Amino acid sequence: MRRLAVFHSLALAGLLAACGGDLRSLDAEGFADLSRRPGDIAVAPADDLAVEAPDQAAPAADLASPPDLAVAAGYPPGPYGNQAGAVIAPLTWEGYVNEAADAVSTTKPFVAYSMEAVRKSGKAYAFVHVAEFF
Amino acid sequence: MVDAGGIVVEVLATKSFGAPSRADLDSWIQSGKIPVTSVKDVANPPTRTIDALERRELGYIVDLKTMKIVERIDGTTTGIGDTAVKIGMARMLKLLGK
Repeated sequence: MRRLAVFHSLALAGLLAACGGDLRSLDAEGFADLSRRPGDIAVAPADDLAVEAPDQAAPAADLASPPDLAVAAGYPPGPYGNQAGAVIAPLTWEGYVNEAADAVSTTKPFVAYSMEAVRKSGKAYAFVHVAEFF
Repeated sequence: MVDAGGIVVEVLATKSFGAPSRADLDSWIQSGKIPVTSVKDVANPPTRTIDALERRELGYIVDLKTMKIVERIDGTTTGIGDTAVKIGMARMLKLLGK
């Protein structure tokens, strides 16, 4: 029995030597793939070098055409205008934000607000009304 | 219109042809019991909105994906005809599919 145990140890050691001594080379059942020797560059080149690298200049498919509802990274550049078809200017204000329209607006906090905030609201359209008080 | 998914911004651009103060904004909101976002220009410069958007009683429907003005609505300043708000609300509801 002892000789059998020694034999098994020697067999395992030999197996490890064939794999470069790396236990990680063994698969789940403990068998090593002896067809490929790690570090043996005389053998055929690694598969990843034989295949042409993907074109890094081409954007990944998911970035090529962003979804319609995605908010653009920044406010559109000018020139800005006030006619139909023009980009409205990135105006900044202060006042009472009341997007839920659930109370008289002076009951809301007095805060900074802007067309940029409107843009990022996630809504589809805004109605901006210019008013005057006499 | 807010329930339909739109945003309304009332900008008090001027008070008697001058820049409004916070007290002016409060008075204006309370006198009309305005229940939507109501703002004024910050102090510097105090008339930036009127400079950019021309004058009172103009309404702008803005596509928030592109920030482009879809429609510029010219409301009455004489009391005869519809206000920009009335016209704008109807147009916005149509755009929002309501």
